[in-house]
Amino acid sequence: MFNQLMAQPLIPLALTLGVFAAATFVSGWSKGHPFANSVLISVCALILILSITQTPYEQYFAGAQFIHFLLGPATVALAVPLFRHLHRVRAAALPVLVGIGAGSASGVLSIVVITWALGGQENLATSLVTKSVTAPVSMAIAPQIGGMASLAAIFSVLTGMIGAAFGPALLNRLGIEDNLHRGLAMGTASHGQGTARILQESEEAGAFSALAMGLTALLMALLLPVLWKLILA
Amino acid sequence: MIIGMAILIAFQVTGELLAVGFRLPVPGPIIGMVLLLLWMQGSGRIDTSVASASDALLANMAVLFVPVGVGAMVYGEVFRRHWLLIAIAVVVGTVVTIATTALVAKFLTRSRTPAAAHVSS
Repeated sequence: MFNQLMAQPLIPLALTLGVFAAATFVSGWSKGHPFANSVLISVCALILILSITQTPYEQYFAGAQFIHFLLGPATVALAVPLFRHLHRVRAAALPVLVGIGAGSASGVLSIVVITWALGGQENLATSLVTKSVTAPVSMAIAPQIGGMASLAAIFSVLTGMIGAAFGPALLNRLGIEDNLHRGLAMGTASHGQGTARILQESEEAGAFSALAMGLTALLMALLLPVLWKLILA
Repeated sequence: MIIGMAILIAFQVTGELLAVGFRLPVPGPIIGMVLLLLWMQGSGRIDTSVASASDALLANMAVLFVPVGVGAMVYGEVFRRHWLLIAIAVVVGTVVTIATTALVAKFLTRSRTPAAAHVSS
């Protein structure tokens, strides 16, 4: 019976929105506890529902793709916050650009080193290196270096959750107090989810985080496919 | 709002066409984003319909990741076999990126304004 219901594209669509609305409620009720992340709760709940009803992912996606489709225009829309905060780059161009560049490079290198040290899973590395980039962009970059789009997107979402959960505490421990540095670090490492988290602390840090997220996506999309060939060589 | 949405999609389509036409190693939506940024820089302002569509999309961006996230169920085997590698890579990679970005940016800000170096310590 469930199988027939799920075959209607409208059901997975409504289910996704309904589960997400409930997850947002739980997340708000827990006062934004890092593990009560609305995306994490929704994904786990939906996987559970699909497993119980024995619905194949393809059938679910036939309906959910209408939500997924909006990722493209949403990526284009990132230009708007980027434009709004572009004047901040001119005020602090050196720390912004070099900080984001160094942070992104260290992230890529750490993945290369970790995957190599733990048995050289090169297949996984190609889906992992884009993890600090917002999901719609990481899933577009990964296939160009031999990775898998959906795995890359999942790793991005996972990274966003980890960064949002532990980033602020890590920055405190490192003695990073300036909104400029806190925002840049959160946006570079954990994209939109990190930005949403640091926005709770300060509007200014959130603006720098949004900026870092946009520039990281741009930088990685432009440079990674070229650099990856050099890393492998 | 509807016009803004149409403009965003038009930029995306243009980006996709350029990516395919010139075989660019850059995702189409990113090219669309750069084109939109250039357009706004050129005109010096944000079109109101584009702004309202963008703000609505970005405010609800989290839900857009859910369908892809559910795709993890297809990769159950990958997660079971490589869970340690994935966990270490995601946690260590994120910590390294946050620390490097913050420390490098802090160092460069200080060296720019040496007079302020003593204040925060």
